[in-house]
Amino acid sequence: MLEHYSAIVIVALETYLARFLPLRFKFKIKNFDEYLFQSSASLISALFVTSLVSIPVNFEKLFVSVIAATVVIVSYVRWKNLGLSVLIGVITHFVISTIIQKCY
Amino acid sequence: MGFSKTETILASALIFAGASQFALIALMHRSFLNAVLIPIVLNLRHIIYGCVISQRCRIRRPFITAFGLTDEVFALSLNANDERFIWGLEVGAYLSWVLGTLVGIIGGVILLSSEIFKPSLTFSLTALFLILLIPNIRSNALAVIIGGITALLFHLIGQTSMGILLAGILSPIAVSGVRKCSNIIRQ
Repeated sequence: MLEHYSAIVIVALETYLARFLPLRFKFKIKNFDEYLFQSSASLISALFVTSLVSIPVNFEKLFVSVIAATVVIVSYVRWKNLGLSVLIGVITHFVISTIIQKCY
Repeated sequence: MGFSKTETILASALIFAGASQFALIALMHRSFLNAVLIPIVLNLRHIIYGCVISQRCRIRRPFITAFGLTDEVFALSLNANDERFIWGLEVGAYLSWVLGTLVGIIGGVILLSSEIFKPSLTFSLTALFLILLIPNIRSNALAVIIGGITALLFHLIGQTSMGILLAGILSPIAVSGVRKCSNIIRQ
């Protein structure tokens, strides 16, 4: 419990400082901005992949998630709405899971 | 995901950063250290946001403006020339975020009480990371691919947290190396 609260406070401080320090001291960064952007993109990709694939690998679950993820991409490209796309993805995931469970 | 209602609302109220909050929740059950270290790397992009905003707009109260400078606020603030306009955006975004979390907590309790909905609701985490990833695919495709493969390989051998951390640190270096090699080959 205390561990959760400490983690929340630490991450809140990190986030605030990452936003505050460049505003306060007006940093000028050269050649480092590309590294930072690529690092963020890699991390999000890493978080996505590890949340998509469960260990041990369950191909049935993975199949459902991949289909739902495809629907998320299509809906996001179509409507550019984060909340709506997540909701559509969750509903798709639920519908496909239910169909598969009833079939087998 | 192991977080109580109070902890969830506290996270939204204090952190106010979607990717960091989701990373914290996803990694907390694996490793405390990684759960607090990975958001640092994720937050590095805010340094760029701060630099850009401070050069475009006169910031008189950075300690207030900084708190709500999220990805969305940054994008909308690019044409702002008044700090109060940014505050307005931040207040709207913050209230939506905290109230949305509250609705999610109430709705989540009802939906998660059924085992049928649970796997589909946890998919929302994957969907969110995917949506955050989409704008990066075009501009940082190589970093996305290298980061994803690195994390997946470590994930498959049971070293998920290490893989995610290495993806964030090493992928930009690998991308730079690949680009240098391709330039040499072209010449």
